[in-house]
Amino acid sequence: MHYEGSFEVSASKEKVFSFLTDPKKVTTIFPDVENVKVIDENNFTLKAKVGISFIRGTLDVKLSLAEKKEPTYAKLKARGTGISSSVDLESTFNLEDAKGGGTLVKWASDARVSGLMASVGSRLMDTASEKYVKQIVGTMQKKLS
Amino acid sequence: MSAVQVAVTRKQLVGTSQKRMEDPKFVSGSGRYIDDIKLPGMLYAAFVRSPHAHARVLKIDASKALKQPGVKAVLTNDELKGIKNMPTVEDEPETVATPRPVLASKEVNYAGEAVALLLAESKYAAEDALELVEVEYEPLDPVHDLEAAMKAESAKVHDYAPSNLSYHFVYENGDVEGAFRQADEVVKVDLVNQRIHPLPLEPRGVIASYDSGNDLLTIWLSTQDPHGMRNSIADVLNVPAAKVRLIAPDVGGGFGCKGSMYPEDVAVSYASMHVGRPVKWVESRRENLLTTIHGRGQKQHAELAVRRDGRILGLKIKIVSDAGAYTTGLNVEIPKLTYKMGTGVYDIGAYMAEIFSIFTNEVPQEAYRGAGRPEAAYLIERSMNIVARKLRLDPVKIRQVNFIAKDKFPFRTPSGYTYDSGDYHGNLQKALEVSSYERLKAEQREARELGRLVGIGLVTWVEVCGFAPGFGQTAAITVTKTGDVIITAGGHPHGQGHATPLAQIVADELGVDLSKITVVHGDTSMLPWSSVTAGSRSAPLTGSAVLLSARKVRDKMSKIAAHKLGLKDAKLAFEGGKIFPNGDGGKGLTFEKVADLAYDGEKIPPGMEPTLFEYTAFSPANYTFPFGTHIAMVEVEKETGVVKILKYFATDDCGKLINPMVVEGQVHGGVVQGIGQAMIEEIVYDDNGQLLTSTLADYVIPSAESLVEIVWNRTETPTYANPLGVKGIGEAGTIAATPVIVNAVEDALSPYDVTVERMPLRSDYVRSLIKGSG
Repeated sequence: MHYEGSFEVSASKEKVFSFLTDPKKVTTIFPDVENVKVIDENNFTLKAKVGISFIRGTLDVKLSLAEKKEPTYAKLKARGTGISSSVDLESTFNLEDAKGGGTLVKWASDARVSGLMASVGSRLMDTASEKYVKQIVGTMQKKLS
Repeated sequence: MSAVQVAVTRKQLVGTSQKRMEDPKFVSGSGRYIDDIKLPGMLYAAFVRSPHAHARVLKIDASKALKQPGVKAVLTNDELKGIKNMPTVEDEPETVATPRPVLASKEVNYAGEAVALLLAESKYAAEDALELVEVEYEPLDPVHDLEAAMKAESAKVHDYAPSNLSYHFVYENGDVEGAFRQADEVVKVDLVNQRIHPLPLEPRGVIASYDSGNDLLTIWLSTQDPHGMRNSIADVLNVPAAKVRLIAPDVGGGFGCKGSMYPEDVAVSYASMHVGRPVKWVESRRENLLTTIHGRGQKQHAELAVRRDGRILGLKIKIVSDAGAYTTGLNVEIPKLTYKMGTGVYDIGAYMAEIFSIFTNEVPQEAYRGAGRPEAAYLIERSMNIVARKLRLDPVKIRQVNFIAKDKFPFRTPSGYTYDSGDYHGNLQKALEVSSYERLKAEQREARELGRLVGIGLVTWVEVCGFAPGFGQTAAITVTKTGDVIITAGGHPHGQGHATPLAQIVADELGVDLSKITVVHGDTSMLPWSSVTAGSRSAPLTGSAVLLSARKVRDKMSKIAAHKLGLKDAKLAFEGGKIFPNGDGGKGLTFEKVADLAYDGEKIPPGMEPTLFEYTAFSPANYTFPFGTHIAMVEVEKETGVVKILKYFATDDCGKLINPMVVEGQVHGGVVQGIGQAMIEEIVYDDNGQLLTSTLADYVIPSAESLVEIVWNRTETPTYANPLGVKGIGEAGTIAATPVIVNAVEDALSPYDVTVERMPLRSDYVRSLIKGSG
């Protein structure tokens, strides 16, 4: 599944980049996250509560900042396992100066969902994913404006 | 005294409908399936399964799971010491062998493949602890689409294989190119025969119990093949077959998918030997859809060289079969059956077939009711319909022009089979009469005048069954000292209703009442050997083995009775529970009396061994080839694309019949499954190799609401291939029903001049055909 979009925030590129590449900060954009552990500056783990229809539970997620080009680009990779499922997510963020000041954040995400969530939840996957992505983007906008 | 006149027993029961002896048990809920069996000290197994369709297994860590209350052990493949891989084929030029550990250890090749077995004190404890087994995977690109998988640049399922080709085969007989040169027209047909699931009501299940004192492993398995599975499991476990006893209790449906050994059967057996306690595993419905074999799954192409009058001069077919993740052996044999039966009931002299069997990251495909023959019937019977439309010929006419004539049997087909017997014209004629075909056509014309999309489909099917030669079946008959009769059948029922027809055969031979006869089966300790119950083999093979055993019993009892009566060289009549010289009932003995004598060495003829036990391993000289005609009338709702079946007529010829009611029941069940494929059933994977039809809410099967009365009739053309003259009927309905429904729908859509290329005929697809036509 591929999702992409863009949004503007009032913060500068540098500030947005610093937010995206700080494990403690970037993990705050995900809903229902707990137990964030920083392994090193590019790798961290967390537990995320997720649910599609009646399939609900906790994923153990490993995240890594796979690529960084300060202050314009960051790539975040995540792999979550649990609930007889596996979720692989690769997100890129391109940061540009917005016309009216602030930063234009162009983002794209590729998700690969496997196991129980993919098979039983397939009918609801798109709706659930869209809602999840909107929530993340909304939180990020709020935190950087 | 002189020799006594040979008396022929009056046949009373064979050929008549008798109520099934086993039904009271099943309808009252007294059947005993795997999940009904509980042994003292039993542990419960659950399997850690891959969420990925294709991935490297990097690490398995069970430490957290092992700390859970009730969890006894977690076994990975590394801990299954001294066992072999699952069976595959020999690596040969045309086939690729796939070494496959019982539990995936380095690589998983389909979503749901088992990587570890967990044992716990209860089923719930086992299921709950599964999540705590941490498996680290490195996902690889999954192979999903058959056409894409055949391209050089495709990702490969197996690194060690040269490509995704599991098996390739080319066959040619007759002057194919000459036939195509002479043709007035070449008609090309492309069809998809989709992946579907056998879906037995009872999923798979196994219990293993190891008795270390006797070094004996007893396995209860929901299987179609007790001896075969005993041998296979023993082989993979590396233990002598003599140290394994396998019992198949009541089995709630097999449809082919319980004819093979699965990794779970071996792992559970090993686990019981490992922990010294009984271990049970019963598949969930999701596991059933995810990991039990699927069937069909072919892309089919045909080219027909045709003359203007409808005569088919030559046929070329190309089959691309979806093997799934591994070469299992059966998934090589099944597409071969499609090619072997490719010319159907038609006399086609020039024939060419090419098969590609392709690896995908999906569950392996094997036998589903009909196994290769429904695919063959689908391809040729859809093709005949398409040719008839092109040439503006009636579907009846084109078949009559091409049928193998009655006087040509036994008929050698271009693929090398010898069809035993047949009367295709006669069977079709009867089908036209019982369906009032001309009246159906008149009704169709009237409906079309009102703008309704009503269609008639017709299929003339043939299949190969009674598999043979060299692949026989066994049975034994015991007459107890008390005069009770026990049939020990090699064939094992999973819903077919074997007991009654087998008992009918024996009741006639021995002249005893059905109530005197008990039928047992499904235990390797009962018979030296039995072979799989599949391929409509029960009546032709088990039935014949029972008949021949009964004749041996009868011969021995005749001699004992004659000895007692002071007669010489006697063959006596067996009727009404008595054994007597022909026409002289007064001097006879009761069946019980002769049975009693048989156990006393001093009361039987000199040199004869006491007791009454006779065994037969019947190996027939040829396969059998039942055939028939199915006719369906359907209506398509123009606005929605919804298909409704209006009428269904099945006129089958399975040779002689033992119990017509049981035969009709087999046809009903088969037709419903065939309709299921045509109308609604489909296994769907996403591009990532994830199974999207993993519940019965997503994988839908027909219910009474979508069905119609099946009007069944028959013709009887006996076979020479067995002494009963029977041909087998278990798969017939499944073979005929799928193409007849699609032919009918295509006929209903004839105002739009469209070809139905794929199934199922869900309303969205049918509607798209209507919309796309204009």
